[in-house]
This record gives sequence, structure tokens and C-alpha cells, in this order.
Amino acid sequence: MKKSTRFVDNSLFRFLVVVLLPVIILLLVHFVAGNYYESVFILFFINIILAASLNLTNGITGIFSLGQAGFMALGAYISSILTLSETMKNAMVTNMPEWLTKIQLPFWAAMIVAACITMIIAGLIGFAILRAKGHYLAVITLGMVIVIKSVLDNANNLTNGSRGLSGMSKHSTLLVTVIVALLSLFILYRFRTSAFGRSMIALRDDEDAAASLGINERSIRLMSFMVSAFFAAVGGCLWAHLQRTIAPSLFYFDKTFNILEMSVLGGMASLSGAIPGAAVLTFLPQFLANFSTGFTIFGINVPQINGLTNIVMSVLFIVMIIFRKQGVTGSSEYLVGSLFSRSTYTGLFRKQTYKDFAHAFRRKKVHDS
Amino acid sequence: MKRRNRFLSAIVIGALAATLFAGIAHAGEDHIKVGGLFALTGWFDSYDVAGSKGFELALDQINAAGGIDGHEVEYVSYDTTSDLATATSLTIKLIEQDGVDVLVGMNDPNTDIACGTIAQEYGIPSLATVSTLPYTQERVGDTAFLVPYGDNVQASAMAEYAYNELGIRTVYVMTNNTDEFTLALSKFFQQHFVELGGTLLSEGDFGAEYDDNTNMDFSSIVNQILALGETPDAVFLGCFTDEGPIILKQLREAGIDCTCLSGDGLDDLSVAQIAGEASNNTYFSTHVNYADPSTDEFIAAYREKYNEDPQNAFAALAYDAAYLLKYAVENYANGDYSPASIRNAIAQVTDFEGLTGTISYADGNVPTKTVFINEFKDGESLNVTHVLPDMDAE
Repeated sequence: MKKSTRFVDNSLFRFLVVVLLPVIILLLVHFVAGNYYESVFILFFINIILAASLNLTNGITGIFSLGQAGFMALGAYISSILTLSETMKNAMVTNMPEWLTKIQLPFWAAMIVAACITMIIAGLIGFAILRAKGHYLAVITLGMVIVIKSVLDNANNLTNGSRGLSGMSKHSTLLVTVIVALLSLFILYRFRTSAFGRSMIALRDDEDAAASLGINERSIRLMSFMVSAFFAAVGGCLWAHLQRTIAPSLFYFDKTFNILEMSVLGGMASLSGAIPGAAVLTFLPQFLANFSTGFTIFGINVPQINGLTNIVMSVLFIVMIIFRKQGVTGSSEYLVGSLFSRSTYTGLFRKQTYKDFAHAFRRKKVHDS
Repeated sequence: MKRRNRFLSAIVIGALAATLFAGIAHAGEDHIKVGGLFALTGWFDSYDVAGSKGFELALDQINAAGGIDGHEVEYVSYDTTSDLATATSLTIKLIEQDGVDVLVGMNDPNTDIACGTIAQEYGIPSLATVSTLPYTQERVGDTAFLVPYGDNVQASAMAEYAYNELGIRTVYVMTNNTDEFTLALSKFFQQHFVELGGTLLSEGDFGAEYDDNTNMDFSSIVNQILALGETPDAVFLGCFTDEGPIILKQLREAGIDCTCLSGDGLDDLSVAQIAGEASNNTYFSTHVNYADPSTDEFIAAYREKYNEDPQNAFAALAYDAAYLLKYAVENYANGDYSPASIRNAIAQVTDFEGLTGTISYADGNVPTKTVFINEFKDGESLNVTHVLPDMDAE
């Protein structure tokens, strides 16, 4: 047998795991499980977008940015101002410029406009700050989060200050979020596998060698920063239209580090890492919330443990950093790669796939007994 | 080995599927199910831990005495971790999965608005125990009730007390500009104080964060006050418990030992403990007078259950929320325990006598009730008076 007969390389297996299984889960969530699970899954997909956008800069290009919450805030605010009706804006915000209150865009348009404006702002900021590298850049981007929050806090006639905005319609349904998340991952994946993406990886691994091959360091880094901001804004827009209440304090250090945790836990160096990372950081706190107020197991009463989530998360994080510091996926693009590679789907129409699948299955059995 | 792995994974998948389908809602029972949304961890816990304890205490007492209308009250609660996204999904979980009929707690104003909006869509009434946002009803809808008074009430009461009783004529107002609550508090205080005939010398903002204790240098504000040329009769602090004691210390160190005034954001024994002597001559509005004999029973029960004194007024507010619910349902619900009926029952409440004053929802979902004014004295929080402000003037 020349061809690989491993399960993981088989088109059928890949189709089952990365396409069919998620589709079945999503259908179950939507039609059977109820709104609570649906809202958690919506949050999960938004987190995937945010973590993947951070992975593009932090893991793939090697620009360690802590500014994702700031871009998310811009996306959330701009899109919310654009989708809120004139009466709502007048009721909440005093002295908003009249032309701005008059504008009301459909959700999709608002999302794209918000993401583009955020990308332009990121371009301006990035032009100035991307000269710095390493820790210096990390600190500057963290400063950027503070600046963005202060602006939102004080631009009273645009953002209603620290009181925030509320009353957006719930546009982030499961279907919308899944579509946007898939599109975002697809675009980011194509971006990564393009010449730009390979330049980014080359820059991350060895700047001088990359520069000697004619890669324009500054433009590649700036491009990566802007694309990352674009998708952070998309995530922020979806988040705002899920929670329907936004305030500057919600997009601060907590949020930035939350996204960073997802990215590090899942695997910074790959877009696929966003998926396990977002899964852990979305589902685990919800799951642990059941236990933090005390529970009974096998007749033993466990008292209320305040902060159970924090304890479990931090232990998990420490264990992860010690034993697998590259994250769950490392630099493997298996998940996202399988999802978007044509062979996963065309393979289903070839007989050989099924033969290989059966063969791999049999071989496992033979080994077993 | 391999086979066992497959067996194990089958069990894991089975278990996951079971948990997925286990908790689908069963509403419409003949007793009331209450959902608690308190922040037991995170930046908001200094207010909500006491609230959660007070609420559980009241429910224990109610159930021990036969429940509401003779039916035991069921209680489900989750820790919102002071995080808005967690709080909103837990709201849906409480309503859909646990099938609660009424929500209690609701954290800070922003969380109250976000979670209250969701509850409004389901028609589930919510009782906020900490948020004092006066326009909650306009932002959320008719199912959102406040147990405390609104910021306009407490700020007016403080202005009246300062002007009439303390004889204060000039003030400097400083405000934490990062929160809805502190901004509203300072705004209403200024407005009412000037209406009474007082003079606002100047005002200043600062941006201290609840989760960022490093930015605790208030020297620019202190210098602004020194630069006024005259010491104001009083400094009004629109602030939280986190930065409050630090501000007091820095003011006193700079020699500004005039009266300080604040709202219920400063209501915590820790303020007096941290600031020490600097907290003397500081007055703040709060919701309850723990020295009053009517609260003795509550304090004794609280001490017995938790082995500590209530740290702030939010324990009493949450305690009142439970008895308010009992009062509303027993008097106005006519044995119908659907959320819509409970909402209407709460809306009809008039003259409910609680630890924190008399609550009526006749004029909207934010009650106007007695404001207690406390003073910090030698590490203790002592009640000096109570004021029922005349809100018709607004």
C-alpha cells in the first residue's frame, strides 16, 4: 500500500469529523436543545472568530498583540450606532450629530462598514506602532486598549459614555454566526495559505532571512495587523448584537486576556487552534456554573465554592503551559484545513476512499486482538 | 487497549448527550421558582456576596414558615462572575432550562439592562437588588423592578441633608466617569443642591477602574481643590467602595478636612477600616439603618447563619426582595403563579414594609423610599438620620 491508510488522512473520516458531526450537533442544538444551548453556541462561534483573528497576528505573523478587545469594541460600537434606530439613538445619546442619528443600515452592511472602519483605524495605529517588536509591542497594544476605552468613555455624544448603548436587535442568530464564522475562517485560511501567509510565517521564523528573500517586512506586518483587526471587529459586531448591551468597561483587560487565553490554550500558531481554545473558554465556565453554588454527588454534599471557574481555568492553564505549551493543535491546521480542502469533499465520490477507510478500520481491529 | 478506548469514548459521548437533554424546561408547576443572578466572584462581588447571603437567608425563613401561599419556594442560582456574557447566557438558562418564574439580583446597571431585556422578552419579572438606575423601566420595560430607590432619590436626599442640616453652601463634586451609576449620582446631586440654593465651586472627573487598582492616584483632583483658593464646605464623591477610602486618605493628607458626602457606592464597612481616621466626617446615603431595633431580628439570623455581620445594605435589600415577592404573590396573585401574574402582582405592591423602608410600585418600577444617611465614625458606620425627599419638585 503506497497510500496512507491512517484514519486521519482519510477523506471519509475527515468528512465525518469536521463536517458531518458539527452539522449534526448544530441541528440538535437548534431544533432540540433550546435557546440556552443555542446562545452558548453562538458565543462559541463568536469566540472562534476572535481567537482566530488573534492567532493571525500573535501566532502566525509573530506580532504579539494584546489589543484585540480594543478592535472588538470599535466593531461593536460602530455597528451598534449604525443599526440602532433614530428614535433609540435620540432617546439614549444626547447631542449626537444629526447626520449620524439619521443613518440606519441593515445588519450585514453595518457589520462590513464597522469592520472596514476598524481596519482603517488599525492601519493608522499599526503604521505608527509596528516599528516596535516583542514585549514593547505587546505593551503598546495594551496601551491602545486603554486609549480606545478612554475615548469611548468620554465621547459622550457618540457613545453615550460609560453608560453604554443598549436596545440593539438580536441579529446574531445561530445561522448568522455560523455563516460569518465559516466565512471568516475561510478567508483567514486562504490568507494564511497564500503567498502573504507564507511571508508572515517566514517573518515570524527569521526576519533577516525573510528580508533577504525580498519580503517587505513592514507591509506584511501591517497587513496582518489590519486583517486581524477586521475580524476582531466582525466578532465585536456579532457580540454586540448577541448581548444587546455594550459599555466601554466590557471591552477592557478582561476581554483582551480572555481572547488571549483562548488563543494560547488552543494553539497560537494555527487558525485551527481557535476552535478548541474557544470551546474550552466558552463551555467550561458555563458547565462549571452548575457546580459553583454547591451540589450533591454520591450522597456527599459539596458546599458552595466561589470562584470554582477561576480555579479550574487557572490550573488547566498552568498544566497546559507546562506540558503542551504549543496549545492543543500546535501548528497543525488539520481542523480548518480539512474543512476547506476540496479533497475532503471530492474524496467522498471515490471508491478508493471507502476501501481505505475499511482497510484502516480492519487494520486497527487486527492490531487489537 | 484500543477497544477499551472506544468503549470509554462511547460512554463519554453518551454522558454528554444525556446532559444535553437532561435539563429541558418544565415550567407551569404549582409553586414559585426563583432564579438568582448574583456575582459571587469578580469586581462586583463586594456588593453581591452580601446580597446573595441575605436573599438565601430570607428564603430559608420563608420556607421554614411554610413558604409562599403554603408552597415551598424553589431557588436556583448561578454565579455570574461579574461578566456580562456569562450573566446573559445564565439568564436564558434560568428561564428556559430551570423554568424560573422570577429573577432576583441582576448585578450592576449594565448587567441589569442586558439580562432584564432578555427576561422582558420572556415576560419574566426581575427584581434588581443593587442597581439604582432611575430609568431602568424606560431602557428595559415593564417587567424590570428595582428594590432600592433610584439615584435621583438618594442624591436629592443627600443634597437636602447637606444643605439643611449640615449647613453646607459650597461643594466640589468629583466623579468616577467610568460608570453609569457614579455619573448619575453626581449629576442628580449637583442639580438638586443648586436648586436648593447652594453653590457648585467646580467639578472634576477621574477614571478609576474597579478591576484596576493600580490607578489610584487622585492628586490631580486634590490639586484642583487646593487651587480653588477657598476650601469648599463639602466634597461630594461619586465613587465606589474600591477607590473611596483611597480618595478620602489623599484628601485628608493634603489638608482638606472638610465634610465629605457620597452615595450608597461608599456603603461598606471596609471603607472605614481602610481609610481609618480619614473617613471621619464623611456622610453617605444608604438603604437601611442597622442600629434600628426593627433590623435586630435580621442581624441575629444573619449572624447565626453566616457567622458575620452584614457588610453593607445590599444584604438587607436582597432580604427585602424575598419578602416583597412573598407579599406581592400572597396579596395580589390570587393563586396564579405564572410569570405574568407575578409581574402584575409586584406592580400592584403598595406600602410593603421592609427593612429598607416602604416600597410602592404605584408610580413606576423604581420606588421612592426613605433614604438613610450614615456617617463613618472611628471605623464604624453610624446612622445619623433618614430623609424622605420630596420628589414632586422634579
